[in-house]
Amino acid sequence: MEKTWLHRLWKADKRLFALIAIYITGLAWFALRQHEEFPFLLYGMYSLKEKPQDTYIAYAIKVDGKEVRYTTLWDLQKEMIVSPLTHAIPLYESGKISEHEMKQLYAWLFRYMADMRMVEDNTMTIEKLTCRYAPNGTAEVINRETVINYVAE
Amino acid sequence: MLPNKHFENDYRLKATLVFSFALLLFFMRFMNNVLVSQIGEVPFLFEQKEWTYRLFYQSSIAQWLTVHFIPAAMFDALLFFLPLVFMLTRSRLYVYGFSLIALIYFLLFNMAAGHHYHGMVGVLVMSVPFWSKNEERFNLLWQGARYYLLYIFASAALWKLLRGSAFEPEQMVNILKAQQLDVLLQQPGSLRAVIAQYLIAHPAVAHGVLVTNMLLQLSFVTGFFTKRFDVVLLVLCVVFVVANYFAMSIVSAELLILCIPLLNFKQLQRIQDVLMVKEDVAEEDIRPAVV
Repeated sequence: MEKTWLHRLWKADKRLFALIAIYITGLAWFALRQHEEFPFLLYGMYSLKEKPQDTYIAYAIKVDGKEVRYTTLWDLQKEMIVSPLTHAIPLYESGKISEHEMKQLYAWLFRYMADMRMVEDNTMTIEKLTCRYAPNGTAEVINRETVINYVAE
Repeated sequence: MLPNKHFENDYRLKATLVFSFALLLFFMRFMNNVLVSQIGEVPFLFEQKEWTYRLFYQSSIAQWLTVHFIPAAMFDALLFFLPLVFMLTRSRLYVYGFSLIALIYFLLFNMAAGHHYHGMVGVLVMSVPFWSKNEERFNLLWQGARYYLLYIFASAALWKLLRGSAFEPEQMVNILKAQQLDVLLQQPGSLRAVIAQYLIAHPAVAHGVLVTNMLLQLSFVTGFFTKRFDVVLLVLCVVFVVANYFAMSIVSAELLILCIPLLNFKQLQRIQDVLMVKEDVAEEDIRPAVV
């Protein structure tokens, strides 16, 4: 017991021990509620049960008629393009984000891609793709729906 | 002043490793075009449920930084300047500043992306031991950072066991279908797509991958009781990062900074001491003889 890290911490610095003890208690408290609050982070790493779906949604971004292959980009670059979009479109569809806000998002996305030299034209199209999987594991697009045809000023 | 020569060398070596990694990490983020001045004026920072993010949003720091390019560029420059100056001077003032700036960046990036990524946590955690120059306190905080890495992996395994997802035969296939869809559509011939396609078509193999991953994560529990297997855990951590990329298209390399406390510093120190002795001898050899 006396060799444990917490015991040595207690012996060395009572205030630091108190801070660490509060942090550990906080972690346990939030873990019991299965609710994350920074800095009490829970590392589930895909531990929630994933339900099977008949179809899956993906987004295609076309600039100058050519599809942006964002999966070939560096990871964080891809996240910065795809993540705001995949979060904002469902919010817009459920009425939580206004059309004006969406237009601002498209303008920013276009500007951001232009800064990365990914844009040669001033048009951008975003499509919502509904996909399903074949038994051999391949994905096929069963429906394409245009979300926006954006023309930069 | 640091109290003794041995601790001074140890502190310097650890500071060099941690903050060189931090510099590399922010350089990669710069190359990824995701530093604050590069993100630019995001139209809205997503609504936050966590109180820390709400407080940060209320402070308006994020909103102000994203619309002012020059302060944002200066902020980005500080992400490089502070760790660099700390490595040279080892003045704690620069570490405090770095921890604060890195925290602001962490919150701002997650708000702009609309998703709470954990990758940057490693840098924040690893900067904490350097808040102290007291040998005992520093060593205890350094051990604390090691425990944080163990907690990350051990808890990931325990969540899978407690939530029962590790026992779901279709769990991995369902995750892959959602996670790898973009890769399968955009790069169907790539190695990642081939792996995903194979695993989706073979649920038993995919479940085996999930269980293996869970066992790998669970093995980090041993680190709470002994340091004997730290090198093994270090290797497993690297294996996890590589496998996570090929199986899930997730780049978790930023978490590797937390592996630094798994290194055997006594051995590293010995190597450093030998090199320093050799340097001294070489210097004496070239020094002109003074009569």
